[in-house]
Amino acid sequence: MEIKYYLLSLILVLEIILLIDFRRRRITGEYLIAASVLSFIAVFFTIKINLLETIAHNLGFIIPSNLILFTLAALGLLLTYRLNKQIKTIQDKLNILAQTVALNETKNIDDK
Amino acid sequence: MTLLIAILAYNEEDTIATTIADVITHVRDSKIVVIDDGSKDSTRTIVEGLPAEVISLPFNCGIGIALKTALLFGIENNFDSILTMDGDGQHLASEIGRLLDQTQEKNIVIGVRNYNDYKFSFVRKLAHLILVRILTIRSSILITDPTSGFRIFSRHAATKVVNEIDSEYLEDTVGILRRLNGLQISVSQVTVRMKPRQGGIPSSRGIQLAKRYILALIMIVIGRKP
Repeated sequence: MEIKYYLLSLILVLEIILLIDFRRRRITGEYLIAASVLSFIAVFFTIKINLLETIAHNLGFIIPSNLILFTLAALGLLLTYRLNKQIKTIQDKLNILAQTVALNETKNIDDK
Repeated sequence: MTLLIAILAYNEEDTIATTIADVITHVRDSKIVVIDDGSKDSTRTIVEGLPAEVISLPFNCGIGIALKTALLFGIENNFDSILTMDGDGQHLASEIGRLLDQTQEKNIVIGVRNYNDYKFSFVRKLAHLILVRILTIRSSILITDPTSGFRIFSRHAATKVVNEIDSEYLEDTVGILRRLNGLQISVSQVTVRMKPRQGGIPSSRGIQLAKRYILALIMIVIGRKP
């Protein structure tokens, strides 16, 4: 099987994971959109191989080390994914805290 | 019946005083509370000088959390119904009576705008049409203006939906409607007059707005867990 089919399968799996996590409120909507757009760009470049070569050539890159690039991109994605999950958890806690503070403040004013 | 009128506001110093005055003129025997969603302008200071209570979130949490705070306040203080409206002058207090007429024990009444009278950009109109169609298919609820924030929640409905709301844009409107079937709450709509925004800046425009509508569509299609 050609490498592009592996990549396409990988991206499809990634999209499904992102949608499940969004549904379970583990990631933010912003991240879902950003990761999806990047995935579609990746699919586009995967299918249109000549386009990537042309752009790389015009920018002055000679034979990019695809494996390193791919590994770094995957690691970057994994890192941002984990960070976004943590951000979402903290954001949810912070929102609950903010609303509790606001309601308590009102209660205290009423008590006085 | 005790009624809480919650006005949700973020940077609405131009319109908040007029909105409160409009409510005082048209609705008697109700408590007015302004949920200030961490405004950076003088919204809070203006409200403090008016006959309305202000609840200030310490920073901008998003309209979903502002709505949640309003509902929690209403539940904690034993109000029978909680009406929510925007602080930008779009919603007319003279129309509140029409929403109250439809209010029942276990439901939500939504004030929807008449598309023929209201000026919409083409993109926004198209996005609304798609949202309405998909929402109808996915949840069997036909609300012609699902993003309207002009609503009355009965106490029962407020108690059920309060834990379902997240901070994401449109979670407070479309997100709630998507989950109503599972919560066994009925929803009805009343066509009301609405004005365009009377001042201030909308929270999202252009690409940001398009992105948020796409997220709302995803939210309707896949649903979100509480």
